[in-house]
Amino acid sequence: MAYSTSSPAGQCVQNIINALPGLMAVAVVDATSGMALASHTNTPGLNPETAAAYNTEVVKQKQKAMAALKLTGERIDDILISLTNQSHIINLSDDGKKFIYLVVNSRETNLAIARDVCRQEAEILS
Amino acid sequence: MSGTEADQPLSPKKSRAAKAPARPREAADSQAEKVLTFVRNELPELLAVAAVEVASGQCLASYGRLRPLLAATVAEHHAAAVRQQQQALRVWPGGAEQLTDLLMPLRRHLHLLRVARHAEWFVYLAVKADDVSLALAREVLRTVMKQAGC
Repeated sequence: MAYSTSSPAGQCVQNIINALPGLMAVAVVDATSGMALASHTNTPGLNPETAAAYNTEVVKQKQKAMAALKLTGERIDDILISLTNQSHIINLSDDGKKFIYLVVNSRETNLAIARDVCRQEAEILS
Repeated sequence: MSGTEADQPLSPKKSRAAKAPARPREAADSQAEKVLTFVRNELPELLAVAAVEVASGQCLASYGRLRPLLAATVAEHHAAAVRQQQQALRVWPGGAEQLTDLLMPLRRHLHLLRVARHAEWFVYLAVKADDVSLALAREVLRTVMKQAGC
């Protein structure tokens, strides 16, 4: 466990664990640096902080694509990544400065439910 | 989507740069064109659809209202996002997971990427959120790529 519930990021991680106890990993990440503010994993060998660092680049590439398309009035709320047996969700806070990174087993957790939990918890990060 | 022009036809690029894929390029080009045709038939209201090589970020085929230069820029950024995700999976425990799709719902637009079976190329689809739901757009992509054998 790498978080303290006295911070908004730690509280957010705790709330997500409470809502989705079967999750594989979760982290709250600083979107600029890619460093985790709080994280937790239920999967041995899986370091959500390392994965979050790579996913920060995924967010940045999408922001660059949006800038090229000149999509005014648009912003990224979340990015949903489907793997063979897992779903990864990146949910950005309203100010875009932080994001929640959640990993669930797609056979155990519905993507829509996981997305909804992230969306609710992202509100406390802004 | 801004930066638009009249609809562009399917535009496979035949000349390719140095990076040689594991499978023949012609096979990927042919499958890509087939997928784009299927997607256009299923979602005639789409904004843009393109097949992009992961390694180089080059468009294998594209259709939509984006100027070719802009489509190429967007393709490169999306290819970089896919490569980053694939790199993240290499440090993933077990190593058995493969990237299937990447969904990026915006307020008015939905952007979807779906990776072909051998992860050499992916399809980028952009639709208006008012026209198609995220679930339907995802299902169409999944189905047409299965139909095309990729």
